Amino acid sequence: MTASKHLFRAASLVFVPVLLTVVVVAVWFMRESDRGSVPPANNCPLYFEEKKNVGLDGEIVSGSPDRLFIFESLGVGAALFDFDNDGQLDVLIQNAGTTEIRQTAGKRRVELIDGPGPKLYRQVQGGTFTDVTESAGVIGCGWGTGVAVGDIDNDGDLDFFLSAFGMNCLYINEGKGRFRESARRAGLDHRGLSSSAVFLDYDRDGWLDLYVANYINFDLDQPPNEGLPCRELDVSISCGPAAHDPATDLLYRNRGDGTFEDVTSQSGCALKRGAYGLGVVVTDVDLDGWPDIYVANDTSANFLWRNRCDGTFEEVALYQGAALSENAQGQAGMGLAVGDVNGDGWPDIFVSNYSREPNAYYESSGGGSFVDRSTPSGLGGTSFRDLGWGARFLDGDQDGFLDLALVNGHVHPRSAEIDGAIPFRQPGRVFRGLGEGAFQLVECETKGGLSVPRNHRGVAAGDVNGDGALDLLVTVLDGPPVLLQNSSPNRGHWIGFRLRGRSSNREGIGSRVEIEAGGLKQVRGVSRGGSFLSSSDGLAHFGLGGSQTVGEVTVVWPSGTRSTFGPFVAGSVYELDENGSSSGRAALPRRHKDRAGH
Amino acid sequence: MRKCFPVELVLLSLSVFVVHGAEVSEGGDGARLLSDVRARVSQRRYRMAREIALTALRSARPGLLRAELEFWVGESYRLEGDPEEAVKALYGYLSRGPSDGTGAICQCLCECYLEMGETEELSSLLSRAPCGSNESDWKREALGAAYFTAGRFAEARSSLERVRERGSTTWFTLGRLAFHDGNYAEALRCFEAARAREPESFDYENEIYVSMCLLRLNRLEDARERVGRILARVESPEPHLLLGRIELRADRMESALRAFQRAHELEPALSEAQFGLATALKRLGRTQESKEAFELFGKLHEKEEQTRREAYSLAQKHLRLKGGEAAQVALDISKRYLSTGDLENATSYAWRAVRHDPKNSRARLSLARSLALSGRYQAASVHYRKVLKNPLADTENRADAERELRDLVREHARSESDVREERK
Repeated sequence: MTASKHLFRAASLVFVPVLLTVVVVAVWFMRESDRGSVPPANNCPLYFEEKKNVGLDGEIVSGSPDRLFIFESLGVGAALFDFDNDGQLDVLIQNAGTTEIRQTAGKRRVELIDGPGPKLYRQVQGGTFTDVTESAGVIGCGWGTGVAVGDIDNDGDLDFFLSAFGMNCLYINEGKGRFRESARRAGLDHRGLSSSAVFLDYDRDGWLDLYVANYINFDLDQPPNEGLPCRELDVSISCGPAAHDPATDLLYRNRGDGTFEDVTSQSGCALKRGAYGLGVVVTDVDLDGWPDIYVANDTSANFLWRNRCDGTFEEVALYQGAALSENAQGQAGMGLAVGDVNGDGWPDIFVSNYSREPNAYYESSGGGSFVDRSTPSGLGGTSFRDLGWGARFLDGDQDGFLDLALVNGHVHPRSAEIDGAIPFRQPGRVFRGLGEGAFQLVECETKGGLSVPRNHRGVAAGDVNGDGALDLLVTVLDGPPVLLQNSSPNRGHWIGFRLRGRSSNREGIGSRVEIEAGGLKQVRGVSRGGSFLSSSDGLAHFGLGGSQTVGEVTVVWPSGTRSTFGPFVAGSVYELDENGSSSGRAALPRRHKDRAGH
Repeated sequence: MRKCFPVELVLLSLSVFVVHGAEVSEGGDGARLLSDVRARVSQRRYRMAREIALTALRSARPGLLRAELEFWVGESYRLEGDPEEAVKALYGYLSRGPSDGTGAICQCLCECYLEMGETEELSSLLSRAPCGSNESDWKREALGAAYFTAGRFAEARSSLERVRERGSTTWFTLGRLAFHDGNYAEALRCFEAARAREPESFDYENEIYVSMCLLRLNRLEDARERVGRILARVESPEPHLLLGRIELRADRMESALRAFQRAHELEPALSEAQFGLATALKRLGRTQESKEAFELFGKLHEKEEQTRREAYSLAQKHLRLKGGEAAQVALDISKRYLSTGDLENATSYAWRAVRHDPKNSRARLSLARSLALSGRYQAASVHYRKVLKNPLADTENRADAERELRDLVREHARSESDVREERK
């Protein structure tokens, strides 16, 4: 009896530590797997892997935990841009704050509590980032929402506009890593609840103008429903858009002297009543050379502002088939992506919508008209439970067909109590473009990366690590931003072009870049806007599949000039100048090497 | 409106004690009376059936005969379109304690609550004695349907998945759940299963859902064939709209145009028909006509959007109020929906207004109007009459009710037996 007791004790002494070790290792593996640090499985054609510990560690704060007011669920955007012209993409993250309810004389009033403010991160050696917010002079912008990047003074360095709940801000890049806030001086100090914004040169005068989508008119002194939360199935939630007055969007014309003129009324953009604007993208839908503006409106018909080429716009979304769902319903338009998906040369539009609403895919039928092909494309019902936000067409696997990255997350923290199938945190999705306007949802065995359920909002695309593939920067409601590196195996060859405008705006925003490689014609519009609240890199990036050269590249500049360049060897970024010259140097020379597996 | 529990089923379940009841009644009078009641019900002479049953109840002893007579009193109210009175009567009978007819009475009560959109009352009824004393398929089915109507999808699914012998109603609601979830292949399977349970009967709603699933699955030719089957039996705007959408997607513009035109003719206020019409005209290159059609649609759509916004805010306010105030707000919402032709919501909120304040004649008038516009003429006439009988109703409401009831009788006399009785 005693011997067996000793034996048992001895066995325990060995067994327990071994068991503990096994458990610890297993837990560590599970946690690492959740973090997405497991390399992608070979069967996953498109995979975005989370890069941790890169210095993007500032917390995003957007709303109080209960999020009982609609603006608390909007989240914030991000930008990928090279603000110091060192050839590496830097990062700007917007930030919001929290709310408090004050009750005075029986009335409930909402108080905005400032959050940590926007963060500017400079990319340093090794693909890591350092917080330069303070040294750059970025002092904040109240309760922030979106970000738009553009070189508004054509001085060769990038400026940015911050939309906000409160006063919008404009940061002018003074060079040497310093910015100066000058919204008031520039005439962009609108107060309200602005969401996405985008720079465009609508009058083609060579200066970037600005379109700002506005969401709602929210009176902090008189919140909706007498300041009480709305209810759904006995769950307290924020009141929906219908409980608020929609706000009208704004169009500003750049005078070219550092100031802007509010041309909303004279351009015709005020003629259409506000409609809960959230996402905005600029593209030339009818290929007349003049940029048009598409706006995703929450729960309402989307807008398509057709540029009438005389400084004015007319709203034509309904007539052109891009306003509503197939059964005539306004959907909860959030984010936007635009690109020539089916290779016919005309821009197609994707709109992310609410959960239990199909996302919308409006395919151009030419001449500025669209046909709702949400279901046949495979983009409509595939992620039916998701509430979509930022979206971006990009050729992730570089096979010559545009893919779609889409991020999701619900607006109500208690969404699962209302509808058990709809969680608050939701995975992002990648749809692989199959050509001809068809997509397939990428479902990988390997979890992690974009597929981790988070409360995603904005997404910006750019080649962050300089390997030639487009990566993603994603914002979430609470927590640090997420950098997702394109780790798709078996990527095709690639080529990238940066534009240098002369009579056009400096970055050539609004240009159309056409290439032909491997018998495939491809087009990219040069733009930084789209997605949701965010601003992507302005690089025209093409996947080339097996082709290692591009014979001819045509650029149609905003000025109307048509330039032809080439031939080019794949695997580099080239600068194309409006004066007809091209520079063979890669704009990101340090690590730009074609890493295609061919 | 789809029946949750087919009357045939109830009849079947009761037939056992019909025969038995005749044996225990005096001189077989019970059987004769019951047969009379059932005959009146099948002729849709519900009031007469109820009077016979009530008369018989005065002398009926407790037992099976009495139980069935009590059931028919409630059921006749319900079938007549007056679930409120049915609930009152049936609760009276239930309060006397369990009887042989308790199960049937509970089923009838569930039906009434479903018609009035009273999910909470229904689940409360089925959670306590005598109706909730044991689990059964029909209760799970009723709860599933009620939860689905209330938007409580997880509970609806949980309840329906526990139904052991799934009938067409269970499959149909499961189909709607899958449809709501965007799982159209599964929804289609459920709707087909519902159809297979009753192959000889034509269920309009089920067929519409099957066609919608096929459209969402982009099986355009199958969808077209199924819609064709519906249209061979029913001439209503909905299948025409569906056909229009199928043809639009299949690039058969002339056919799409015809379908939307027909839907528009049948229901000119239907904004979706106007939208489809405008889209088809545009894609046919008939620019000017298309622009005009879009303009018309734009006006309809704008009004709908405005109504939706107002209704949303009022609905939230309604949740905070009780009694007369709640009734007034529910009535305001109902009127807004009525003005845009959203009859389902109009009826639902009118019911809420009536439940908050049964004596509110304006609320009842709104309910009658919603029901009349939904084609439920008999139920509408019941509520018009209640307005006329209400001593608190003001002159204007009375005059409106009288005029509208007269119009209803004139226009729909042939379609509703109740209205025929009114004419007499």
